[in-house]
Amino acid sequence: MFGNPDEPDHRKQLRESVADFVRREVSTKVLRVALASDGGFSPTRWKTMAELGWTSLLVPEESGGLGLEHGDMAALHHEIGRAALPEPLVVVPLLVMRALVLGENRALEQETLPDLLAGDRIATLAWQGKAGAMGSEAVGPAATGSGDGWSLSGKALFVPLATKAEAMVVAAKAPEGVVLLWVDGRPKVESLITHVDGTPQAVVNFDGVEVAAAKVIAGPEVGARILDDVLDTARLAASAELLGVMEQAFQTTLDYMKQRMQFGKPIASFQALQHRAVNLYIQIELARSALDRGVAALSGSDDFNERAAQISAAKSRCGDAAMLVVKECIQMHGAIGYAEECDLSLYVNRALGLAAWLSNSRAHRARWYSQQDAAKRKCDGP
Amino acid sequence: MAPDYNAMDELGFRLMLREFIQAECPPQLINQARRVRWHEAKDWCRKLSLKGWLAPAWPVEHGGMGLNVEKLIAYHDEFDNAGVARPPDIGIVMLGMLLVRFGSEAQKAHYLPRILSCEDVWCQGYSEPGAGSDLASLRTSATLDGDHWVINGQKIWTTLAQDSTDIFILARTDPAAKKQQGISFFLARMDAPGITVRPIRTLAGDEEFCEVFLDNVHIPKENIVGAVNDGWTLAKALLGFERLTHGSPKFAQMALSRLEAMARQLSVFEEPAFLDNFIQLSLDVEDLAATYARFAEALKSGAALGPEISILKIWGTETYQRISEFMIDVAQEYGTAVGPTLLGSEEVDPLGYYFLSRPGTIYGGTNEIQRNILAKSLLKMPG
Repeated sequence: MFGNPDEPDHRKQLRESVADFVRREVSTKVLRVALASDGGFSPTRWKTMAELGWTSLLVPEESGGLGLEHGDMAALHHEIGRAALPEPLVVVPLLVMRALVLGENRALEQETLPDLLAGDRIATLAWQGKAGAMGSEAVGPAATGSGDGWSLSGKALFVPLATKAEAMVVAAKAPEGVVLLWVDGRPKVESLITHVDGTPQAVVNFDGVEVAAAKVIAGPEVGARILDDVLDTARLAASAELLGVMEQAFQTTLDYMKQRMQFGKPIASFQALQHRAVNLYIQIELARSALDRGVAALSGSDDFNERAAQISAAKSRCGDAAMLVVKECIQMHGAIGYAEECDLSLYVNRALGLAAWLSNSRAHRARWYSQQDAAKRKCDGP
Repeated sequence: MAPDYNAMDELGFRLMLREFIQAECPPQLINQARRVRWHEAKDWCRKLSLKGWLAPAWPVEHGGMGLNVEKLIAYHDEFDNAGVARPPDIGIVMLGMLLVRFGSEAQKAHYLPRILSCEDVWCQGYSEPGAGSDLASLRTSATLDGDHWVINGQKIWTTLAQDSTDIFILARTDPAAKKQQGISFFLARMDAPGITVRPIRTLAGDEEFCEVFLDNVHIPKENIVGAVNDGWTLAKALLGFERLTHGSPKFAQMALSRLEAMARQLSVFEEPAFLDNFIQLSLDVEDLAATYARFAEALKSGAALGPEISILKIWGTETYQRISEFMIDVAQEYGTAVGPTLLGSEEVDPLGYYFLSRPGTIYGGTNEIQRNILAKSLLKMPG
């Protein structure tokens, strides 16, 4: 099939190493056990992933990482999506570690990064003030200056890994701008939602939390920019996972339709189903194009608005396409597609979860348009 | 001696074309969604011919530009970006390429220069009343009678036959053979006795295609291309690079920009329901363009075009249709006005786009046939 042509060798090897890992270590049975556990993932598998270097792709070499490109990151997540792996490769490396790397506090980075890279410690990001929020304009927690440090109050919604995290990056809105802070210890969980893909997300309360100056990752001049940057990078990773999820769900369904006999023939021979299958294939290829364009913008453009537009275009296409693919896969499987025991359910749930997380397709379409509109006004002049 | 275009840097090549199009292309050929007629396009075609730019894909020794894939894509991009209407070019893109590959030396020497000089204008006699998607079931017959082939039958949906001087015809030469195997490829003058043309008016109001009746049409024995009964193989071999251009996003892009201009006049950008759909369609076009670019890149890096190229045709034509349907919806009562209407400061024609976007999903292999092919050859679905 028309797929990923002309990738550099190291990227092909990265894909192969994920596929190899999945063959050796992962089965749908094992996945189900992890999903049903408290954190929704397997801590031992997480440690192995860290040993394989998957937590360190975008971390610069001088900080102990691999210093690879966004295209490599997208390839990793594409393969992770194919296997529907629930480990927090978006949250810890891209939302937490990347904030530390982009931040201004080298001492804090040196203190915290090694354990995170090694998979010995889980940390999360708390920022979100409301459902469907895009970034720094809708930060939940508030901060006020207190000596050299900051006093926090308020709440963050949809905090991932809240039951497993031993530390947090917190984005808080100060009068001077958004600050990024490191908060040690377990989050104060006010309430918990378990999402359809097994990830628990919490409302975390910050009332009375004090943060010393030494734990400031980024001050109000740069905090918003870094927050928006890590969120958009994570969105691209989630888009890549969605592509993998939909491809695998589609392939599984095609295989099923070729062996499922009704009326004396494989149901894949029915034209009505063939045409619908082609429609899904088209959406998958559009999603791949949108993702590629997003990767190109993230690695090739310094213009935040241009990058935001292309990343939103990618997330909206990948989200919509994945949602279409999995619902059609349920229908094409017939009754067994509605059974939880059918492995398709892992992909359905993953698609639902990833499509909604970090803002859904509708929100991203709106952001894409507002960026286009802004760019047009910039061109037209005052 | 023609310059070596393939040795030029791409930007220089593009600018050369861009400047020429800007300076020389008649304005009535720009941003025309409808198919233009020969009398409208011929002066422009002659200008291109004098420049040596009429046949980008033909080899240099036959008077073409001999472009490699990269430059060919750039060539089409520049014409598309400038909004230049596609002239009647079947002789260039179909017959010329076919003769270059399969024609005899005498045929090449006779026909190719006449196509290049715009003296001969060709049309394609493939479809018949009983042979549309199932083209191989065609019944037009050719029988050898001394020094002549005698052709009898009927062709239909022959694009711009009324403007053409010549026609190439698929006809059955062996009624006993399995259906694809008894077909041959013929060349005929349109003024030959026994050929009658009846234009067919389309929903858009144009006479874009015709019926062509063939009653005891005598053509010289040598007017066959390739071997007897080899016509189907020849016709199929033509589906090369042109399939990329069938997937060009230009029609959808043009319609979207017209939709936007019309919507501004109607002040509907404040309506959430309008905006939601407009943004969705815009992203559909963006992703079409990104996918087109991905295919173009793959071609440039030497990949062969597989059946997957059909997704461009399917998505491109259906996106164009969705945009045009939304145009007549947004236009309310203006949406049923026949012909261009002045709306504020814009001349709009939503109904025109609605009709003009219809045939894309039918010609060149209906989108249903394209889906059949993709399902079988790419997704390996049986039956």
